[in-house]
Amino acid sequence: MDNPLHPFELHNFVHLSLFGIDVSLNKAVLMMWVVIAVVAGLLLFAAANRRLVPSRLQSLAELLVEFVRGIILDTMGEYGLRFFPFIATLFLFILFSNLLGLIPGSYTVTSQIVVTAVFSITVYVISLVLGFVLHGVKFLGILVPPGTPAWLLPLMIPIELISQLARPISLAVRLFANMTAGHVILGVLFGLAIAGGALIGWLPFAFTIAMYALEVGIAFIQAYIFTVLTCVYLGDAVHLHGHESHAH
Amino acid sequence: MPSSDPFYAGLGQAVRLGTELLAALIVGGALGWLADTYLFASGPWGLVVGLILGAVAGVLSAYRAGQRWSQP
Repeated sequence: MDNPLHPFELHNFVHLSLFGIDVSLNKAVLMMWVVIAVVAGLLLFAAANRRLVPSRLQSLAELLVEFVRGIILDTMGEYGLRFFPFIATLFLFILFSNLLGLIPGSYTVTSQIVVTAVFSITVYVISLVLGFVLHGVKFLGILVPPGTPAWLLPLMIPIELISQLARPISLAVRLFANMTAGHVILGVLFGLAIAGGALIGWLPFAFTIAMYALEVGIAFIQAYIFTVLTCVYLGDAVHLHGHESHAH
Repeated sequence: MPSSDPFYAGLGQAVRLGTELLAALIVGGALGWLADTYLFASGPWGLVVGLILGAVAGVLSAYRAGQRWSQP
């Protein structure tokens, strides 16, 4: 059987360079454009003729918007609504990359760690900047959990530093690993179904269908987790120990 | 799927914890190794201490997630 990681390799269609930076087109770039076009088209079309009794497309758009709004209100409170455009964009882009990537023959953008790492580092840098803008130097107090006795500080500060630095890494790796692993499993199972032929191949084929259903669920869950954690990190920067995210 | 559904919130927390344990361990080990290699020539001790601190940080974040979850 082929190397199951082979489909994740990217080959440039066209070689382009802009001021010495490689901006060549490949499958992932094209797929990102498709995702942006689909999301923007869906929402613009749904908002084009708004009615009091919504059409199906409009209710879908309202469902998505209400969903993100609910997450933000649960984790950050009213203050978080000013980040709504950013968080909703992130959620919709990740959700639709995950879902459109499940169409056979397309490409899952979020299975590239470059993409997920850029998202998670952006989120983390925004939360740091926000924290320092709102609280000034006092924001460094995020490294000291409330109620720590002074003699424990040399131990607690490194631990808190590690758990802070682990945030962007776990955010990026979680999405990337889930997407890559799911597609590898689907590829291997389907390869087995083809190799098995008509006699025994139906068994792995049935598993492929079951795994595919699971992957659709994982596509939703991973987009949801990424959004919730984005809100939690931004909320920690806003509230700083106070009444942190009281969700869940 | 409404976000207020406790099932999704619980599933979210469950999926979250595994990677968080691993990421804290990786960061702790990496910081210790960097201290060993570039700051002090301290043999394997930076890596050892870093890995232990990383494991502690991972368990601590799992503990906090549990605390957060149990709040109404």
